[in-house]
Amino acid sequence: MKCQKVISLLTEYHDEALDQKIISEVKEHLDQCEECKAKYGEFKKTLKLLKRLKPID
Amino acid sequence: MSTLEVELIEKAKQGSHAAISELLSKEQNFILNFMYQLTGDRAEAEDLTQEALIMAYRKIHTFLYKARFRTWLSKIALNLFRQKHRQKRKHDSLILEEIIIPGEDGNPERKIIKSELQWCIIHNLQYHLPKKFRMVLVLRDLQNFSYKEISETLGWSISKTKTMLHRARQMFRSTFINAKCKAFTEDYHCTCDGIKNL
Repeated sequence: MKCQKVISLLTEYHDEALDQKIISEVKEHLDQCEECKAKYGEFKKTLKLLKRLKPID
Repeated sequence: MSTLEVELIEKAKQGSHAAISELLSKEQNFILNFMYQLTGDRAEAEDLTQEALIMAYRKIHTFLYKARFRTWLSKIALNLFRQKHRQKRKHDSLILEEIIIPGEDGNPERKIIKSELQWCIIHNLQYHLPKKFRMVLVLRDLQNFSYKEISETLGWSISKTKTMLHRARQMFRSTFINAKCKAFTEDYHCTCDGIKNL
């Protein structure tokens, strides 16, 4: 799988909304490609940041 | 949907004020937070929540179990939000470092960063994301709706929901990077004006 494709699938990969076969392919790519791995790290960091928004009551 | 929830809905549909009150009071805080995440304004969020609950109270007889009660109620609240936010908001820019915020506990720097991040998250959602991106991001990443529930709430296909969510997450990330957020870079400069209200 190519980098561009992997990046386009990060949302669904993160949400586990892909077929198992595709998940394996994305994972394999992320294990081997430092650039995509870094982008996925940043992606996760963004979501973690967003979730730090405290609820009001 | 739990048995208790179904029982309450059925009683509410038959006109039980106690049942509808119990049903809505369980969801009130959820809707309040949902509206706050979309508007960034507590007072407005409270008004929208109140309106949504009143509308749900009046329309409970139209609930047909096609979705979760929460999804149905969210859709009502979201439509009210959409009606009141048809125009895009504008704001000027400002550099955070020009603002002096006094500390109270002898550690002012830490205190600033903490309040800054909360402010920046809500501000970025409110001003730097188009409404459609803000809605999908809030529903998925703050309210944990499934793709199916988001598509039901927003009236989008599952495919469009996935595409919009991906774009929304990318844009949210880039607003923080472009603003040189401390979470992504070492030198922090917020470029928005509302920081004055911290």
